[in-house]
Parts: sequence; C-alpha cells; structure tokens
Amino acid sequence: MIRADVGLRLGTLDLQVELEVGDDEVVAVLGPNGAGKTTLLRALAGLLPLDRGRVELDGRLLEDVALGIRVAPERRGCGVVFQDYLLFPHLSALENVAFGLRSRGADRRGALAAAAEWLRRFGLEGFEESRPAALSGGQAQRVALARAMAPDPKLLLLDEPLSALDASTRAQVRRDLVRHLSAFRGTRVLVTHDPLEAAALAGRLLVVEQGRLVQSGTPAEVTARPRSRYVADLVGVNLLRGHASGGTVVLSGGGSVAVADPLEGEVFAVIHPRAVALHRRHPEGTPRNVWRGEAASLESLGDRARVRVEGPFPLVAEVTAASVAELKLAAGGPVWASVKATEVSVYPA
Amino acid sequence: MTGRQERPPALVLVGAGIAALFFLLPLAGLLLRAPWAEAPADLAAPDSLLALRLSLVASFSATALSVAFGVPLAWVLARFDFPGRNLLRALVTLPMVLPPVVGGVALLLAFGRRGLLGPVLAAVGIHLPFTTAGAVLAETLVAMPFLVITVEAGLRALDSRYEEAARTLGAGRWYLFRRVTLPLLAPSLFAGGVLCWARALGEFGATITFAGNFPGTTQTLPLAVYLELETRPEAAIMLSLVLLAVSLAVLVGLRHRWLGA
Repeated sequence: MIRADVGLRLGTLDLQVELEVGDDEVVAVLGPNGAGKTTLLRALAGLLPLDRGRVELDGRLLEDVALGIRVAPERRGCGVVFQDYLLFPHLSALENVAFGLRSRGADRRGALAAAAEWLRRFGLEGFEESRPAALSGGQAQRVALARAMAPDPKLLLLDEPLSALDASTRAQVRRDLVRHLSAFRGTRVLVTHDPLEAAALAGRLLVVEQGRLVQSGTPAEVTARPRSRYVADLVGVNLLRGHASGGTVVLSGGGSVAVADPLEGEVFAVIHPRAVALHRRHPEGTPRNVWRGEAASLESLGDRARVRVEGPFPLVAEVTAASVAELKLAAGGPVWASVKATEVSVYPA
Repeated sequence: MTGRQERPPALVLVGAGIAALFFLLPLAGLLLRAPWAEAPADLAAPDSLLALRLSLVASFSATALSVAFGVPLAWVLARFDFPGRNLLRALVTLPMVLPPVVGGVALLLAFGRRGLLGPVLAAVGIHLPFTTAGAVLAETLVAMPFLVITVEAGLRALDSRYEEAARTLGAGRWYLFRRVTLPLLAPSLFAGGVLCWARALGEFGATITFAGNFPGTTQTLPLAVYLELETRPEAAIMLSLVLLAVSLAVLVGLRHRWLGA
C-alpha cells in the first residue's frame, strides 16, 4: 500500500494531494488536463522531487522532505507505464521487457528467458524480436505493461494507459488491462482524464482539479454526488452550491432554489437537465422553482436537445425535439424554467 | 511521396548547375592531370607512405581524443545550465571560424617552450611542439568543435523521458548511459566523429605552425602535398588523390551505412 502526502510546485501548478491506496483496490486519479495528475504520478515514481510531504510504500519511507530523505527512482521499486509507453526504440520487445531485470543485475540469459515468459503471458508470442516501431498500439501497450511488471514492483503506476490507442482497439485493450491489473499483486494507481476509462479500470476514483483532491469515492458515489463543476459536466448535470436553510438554498452566486430536503448549512444542489421544464410564458400550477432567463444556446442530441438558459444562474435543460420546435427555442429569447423542489437533490458541501 | 516530381524553376537549375560544376571541375582537374604512369612509383615512395601512415595515425588519434573529451563537454553544454555556458559554447566553436594558422600560433603560446604551460610540461619531460603528439594536438583543436556541436545537438534532440523510463526500471547511471543514452545518441556521435575525423585529416595550418613539417613525425599528407607541389608537382597530385580517395571512401561508405542517407 502507498501513503503519500505530495506538495510541489511546477510552473503555475500548485499540487497538494494526500492519498492512501491499499493493495486490494485499483485507484484512478481523474481530472481535466493540467490538473496535476501526471505530475502526481511522476512525483510518486521519484522523477520529480517534492517540495513538501512524504511518500511511504509498504511501510518503507521513499521520500520525506522534512527528514531530507529521498530514494532515487531506480531504487523505488515502482513500475511505470508511460502515456506513450516510451518503449526503447533501439531494443526488441524481448529486450525491452528484460531491461528492468538486467538493470537489477540478473544475468542476460535468465532475464531474456523470464522476459519471454512475460511476453507469452501477455499474448505476444512471436513478437520477441520486433522493434517497438513495428508493433501496433495495443501490442506496444502490452509490452509496456509487461516491461513495468516484470521486475516485480511494489507499486504500478499507469499514465493515461489507453489514450494513445485508437477507438477500435481501445475496448479490447481495456478488457485485457482489467485482467492484467487484477493479476498484479501490489498497489495500483492509474491516471486518466477519461471518466469511462476510470470507471472501467478502477474501483475508486480520486478527482483532482487544479492540484487539489476535490472528491473521492466509487464511480457510482462520485457521479451521484458531484462535488465540482468538472465532475458535474462529465455526468451532465447542473451543479449549484449555496447555503440551505428552511427548505431554501441561497446560492453563493445569486438566486435561490426551493428544495424538499430538510438539510441545513453549506450544500451542493444537483438538478438533472431532464428535470427542467421550459415555457414561453410564466407556468401555471405548482412548481416551487420558476426562473426567468434567456435561451442562450442549443445542442441537439437527436430526439432531445440541451438548452442553456442564462437566468439568475446558468442552467441546462434537456427537452424533447418537439418542444424545441413548439417553443421555437432555436430563436433564443426569453423563457421560463421550472423545476419541482422534489427533483433537486441536496447533500452537504 | 508518390506521383511525378515537379521540375525546379529554371533559375534554380542554373544556380545549382553552376555550383555542381564548381565542385566537379577541381576534381576533374585532379583526375585528368594525374600522372597515372608514375603513380605506383610515386605512391610507393617512402615519404608518401610515411605521410599517409602519419596522417591516418594522427587523424584517428585526434578523433579519439575528441570523443574522449568532447562528449563530456557536449554533455555539460547540453544538460546543465550554468553561468558562462554560452561563452563556453562560443569558445568551443571558435576554432571553426578562426584561421587554423592562428590556432597554431595560439597553441605555441600555450604549449610552446616559452608558452603558458610549456615550461611545466618540459619539467615533466613532455615536449609537444614539433612532435607527432603536437600534430595530434593541433588537429584535435580544429576538429573537436565539429564533434562537440554535433553531439550537443544530438543530446538536446534526445527525448530524456526514455532515460526516466529506464530509471523507473532500476537503471543506475552507468547502465542507463550504456544501454539507453549511448545507443540513442549513436547516430549523432557517429556523424560528429566522421566530421571530426575528416577535418583532422585535412588539417594544415595549425599543424604546420605548431608541429612543423618533419617527414615521419609531423609531415601529414596535406603538408606533404604542399611541399611536393614546389619540387615534384606530379607527386603532389597523386598524394592529393590519395587524400581524396580516403576521405570519399569514409564519408560516402559510412554515412550511407549509418545514417541511411
């Protein structure tokens, strides 16, 4: 298991993340580009020195800034699968996989035999003598994984393991990767900006934005209760934040939302776009929430469409193509948006 | 590239043709005016053989010295940021633009009998001026810059993430250098080595100034050519052809094999 408290600055990025990953789980660090995911991974591997904090792997101290301890990457026992694999172009697939064994002093013959066994296990029999340039994306990915796992690391780090692949091979490679990851005995951390990839490969997500850990939990937990605009956008819901009191959430950016939940204090409120109804006139009836705004933009999703409404706060509504035509939403103009209080889910911020 | 090639504009063709002729004519002059009948005798003359042998020994020694010290220098220039780095780089490339004679004079003032280091070296029994070692030193001075700048460019172009990958796989410094950096650097190192060797083989000015012109010890082929031109022009032509053949063989043969043109 790894326990790390990582603090470092790199350019405009200020990374401050604490994490703890056990051997019985696969954890994905999920976040937008530039959030500091790769930097975090490089710091764990020892390729970037920390400014503050410590890293401990299976009880062994790898780095502690306060104590002045820093174990070099070649002595950490971390296997890394890099984003574009970085297979050594001048070595064959077999020699690539044998590299980590030979660098640790294994004799050439033994290392090559072990590497051949790894290639066989990864379904790469017959590619022993192939140079990386002659391998397909999926094959190169498997060689990179075999190379990282062959020296029996305690920690396996994967940086965007599927992003270098084209869509047609990605699904197959993802299935293989799940299998190989589950066979690995040790700590597994991967980094990705793709929520589907994260959910498919990992049991727990750590959402990192602008160098900070903003949310962690199972994929289901994270998507059910987004705690950041980034996750809300991934899931496709409206995320609002404000202060709840007596069935009303007063939003920090202005406006208020009536809710059915009796929660008090700082809260997140999530409104699914399908729960938002649009009208050209003030709606009759009982909806507790009615806001006036402008239909700003329209995105067609086949028989449905997403309409962005600029009101007291920005709100996305998902309506049928029929209502788009009936309400002439493509023309923009003033609209009324209504949401039932029971459709707003609220949870503590 | 598929399909037909476009014809270059006429003006470009004329310019390129003149340039090509400019390179071809001197070569043709050498080949046509060579006294082929006396060639075996001229080439077998002891002086010619001595000069050829010395040229090969000195140029390869200079290349070896340049690799041994130029690669670390290129490494420092490419990988480390320190005050005066640009100044050092300018200093290293200076011999490329300096007239070689000036380099020879400078070497005399540094390693000559009354030079900066001369007396110190003499005290331990090392005499460089007018010796074969001096000829090697002169060739190294003018040839090493070609190696340094080529290798430095190669190091800069090298993707250092391969080295990071190797480190995560447990490679220590030496293993990393031997199994990753050096093989990835090989094309630059080779190209730099060939350029360096070719420059050393043709070196004249610094050598004759610093090492003199003694048959067997400091008289390399270019010096022999110059000397023979006054007394036996036919021999000078034959020696020139030898130089030409050796250079061409190495440049064409090895470049194609290693750099894939």
